[in-house]
Amino acid sequence: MSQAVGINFKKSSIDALIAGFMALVLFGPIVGVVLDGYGFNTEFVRVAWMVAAVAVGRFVMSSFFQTEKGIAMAFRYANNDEGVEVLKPGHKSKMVWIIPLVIVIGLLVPFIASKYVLTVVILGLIYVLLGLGLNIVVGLAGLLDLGFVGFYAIGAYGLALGYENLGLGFWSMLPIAALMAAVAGAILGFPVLRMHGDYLAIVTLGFGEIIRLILTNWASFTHGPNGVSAPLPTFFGLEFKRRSSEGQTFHEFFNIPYDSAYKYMFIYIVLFAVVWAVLFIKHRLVKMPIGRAWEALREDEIACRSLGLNHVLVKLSAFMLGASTGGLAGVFFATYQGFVNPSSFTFFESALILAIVVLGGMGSTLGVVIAAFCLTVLPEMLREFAEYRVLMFGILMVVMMIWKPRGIVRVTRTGFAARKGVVK
Amino acid sequence: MNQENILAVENLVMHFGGIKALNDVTFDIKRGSVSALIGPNGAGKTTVFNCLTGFYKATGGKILLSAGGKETSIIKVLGEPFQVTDFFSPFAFFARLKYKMFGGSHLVNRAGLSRTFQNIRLFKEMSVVENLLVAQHMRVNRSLIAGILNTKSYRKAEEEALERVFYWLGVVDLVDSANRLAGELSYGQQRRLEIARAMCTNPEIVCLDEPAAGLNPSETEALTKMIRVLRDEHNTTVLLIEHDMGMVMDISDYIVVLDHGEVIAKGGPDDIKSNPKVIAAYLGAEEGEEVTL
Repeated sequence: MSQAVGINFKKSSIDALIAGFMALVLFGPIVGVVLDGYGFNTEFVRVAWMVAAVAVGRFVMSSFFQTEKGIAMAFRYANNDEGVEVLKPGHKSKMVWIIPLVIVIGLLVPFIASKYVLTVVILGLIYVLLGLGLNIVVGLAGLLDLGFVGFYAIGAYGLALGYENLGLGFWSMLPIAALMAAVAGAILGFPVLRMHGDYLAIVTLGFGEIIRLILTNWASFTHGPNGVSAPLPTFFGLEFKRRSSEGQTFHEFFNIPYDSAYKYMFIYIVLFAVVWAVLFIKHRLVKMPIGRAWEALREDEIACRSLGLNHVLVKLSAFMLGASTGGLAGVFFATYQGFVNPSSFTFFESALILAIVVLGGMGSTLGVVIAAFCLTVLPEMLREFAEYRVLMFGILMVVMMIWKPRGIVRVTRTGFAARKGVVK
Repeated sequence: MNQENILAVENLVMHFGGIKALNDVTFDIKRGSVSALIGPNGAGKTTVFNCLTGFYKATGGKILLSAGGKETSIIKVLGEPFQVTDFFSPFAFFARLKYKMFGGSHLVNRAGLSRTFQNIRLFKEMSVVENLLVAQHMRVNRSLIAGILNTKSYRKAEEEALERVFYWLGVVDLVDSANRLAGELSYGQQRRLEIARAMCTNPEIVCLDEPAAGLNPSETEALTKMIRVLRDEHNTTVLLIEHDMGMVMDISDYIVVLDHGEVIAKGGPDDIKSNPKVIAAYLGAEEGEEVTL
């Protein structure tokens, strides 16, 4: 083919026919035949519309990819899976400007946004925390963990049960839950040390389910499927309730009318601070020896051992730090919902968190933040589509993976300026 | 502690199920020497290496490494099975339990022995500098708090690590590629980087598994020079497996020849060249036939 440019309509038509036929096969039985009691109605018009839409779409697409622009675009996307880039030694990140801007906007959000928007953003931030935690385990250390929701549940139930049994509030449970989740991470980590890839995924999947089943079935302690109520955070001992049984409430102390949005504003601000702290720690960790060891472990475990790295401790530290971040997220989730029950901690949550990490780009902090917001805020925005929400969600994921198989944000590595070598 | 020999292998036996990969291998490696382990394909050279570096747990025998001012039994640090006597002596019990739980080949490296691999095992998606930084894990400031707060002592340790990195990059001639990904390097460069990485762990003995495989003659020449630098300037003992006889004869002070899991000859290059057993093992020739290596 010497002349690539110039649309071959015959080819486009054939493509359209094939796509239309496949759509007919697919949609015919699903959409065309509607059950009605014991009989069924056939709906030819609906099927015809769908098939026509697919065929026309395929025709347009096929034609477009034969034009010069289309070829260039296809070429560009075929070539963008080169993954990692090493930055120049003196690289100045644009984030220096973006971060203060995001902090300022973030601090203004609770005072501008409606209560509904605020709750959505809080959920987004909780998933950012979860994503960052799992990113340590999956993205950096390369240990495929499908039971991450277990640590999330430990954090959430930690707050609820700690309050019920021991009278511990939000502020004392925040560090304790992180510690508890870390211990759970170590307990999970020990038996799976020798496993890789698929096997590890199955065992961790089991772990997540074990936690959920314990929460469901140990009714005398966890109240089973009925769930437990979780306390709200307090502001220096001031509660965010309408009336307090002991002491003063927030609105009474400041002499302002009661508004149920105050508690969300407060949770938001605390969560916002915690997310930034975790982001900072994560940012430092990847540059530290431990972060390098995690990534080295992901690349080649045998080589790691030959260099004197204790792979047991490296894996355990990844599990523990990841889990403790998940535990923090759980505490926020419980206090934000005011109530936890086992149905919040199903496998779907684990899959969603994993999707955040993969979609964002394994090991990329910025990517995880963006992906977490996309995957939590987008379903909220798609509420109008109600039933088609999960379908849209699935299509989005498939398209993203074709488009950017290595995640939204390309992973970059720090460059080091050459210096005089000295050996001591 | 044996001053003369850095590594003593006694009656090493390694069985994989019914297959006897190594039968009674005994040799010593002198401190500060360049020694080679040669033999036909399937002779068990890499198996010996894997036993020495702790990747296989030898079925029997003894491997003693005298480095860093102490003597390490490589089989012991990998974690041995419990003996009946352990249950009467809590001290021995806990020592064994410790090695069983936390032992492994990383302890061999910490004892002063590092290695490279026959099929290159670099951290491909990390930069060249980071590959060498990982190797210095045990020598930098690993405190989480110091790292997160970026304290002075942490920065000093990192800076020193980077200086060592660039020193070794200079030795293996990779300074220009410092900020490339290890996976992007050419084959010869990857081989050199792997040697630099092994040296960054500050070993007293470095085991190179076929360092010249896939290199062209001029690269092999450069490698030979590099190995001499390791021995002469860093007092590192070098043990290598190699098929390139020209190179082996050129740089080795001492050669151990393996065949079918047994040592068939040991000695200097000249002895080995004229050893009829070695010639027979390599060429399957009649003894006495005139063959030169």
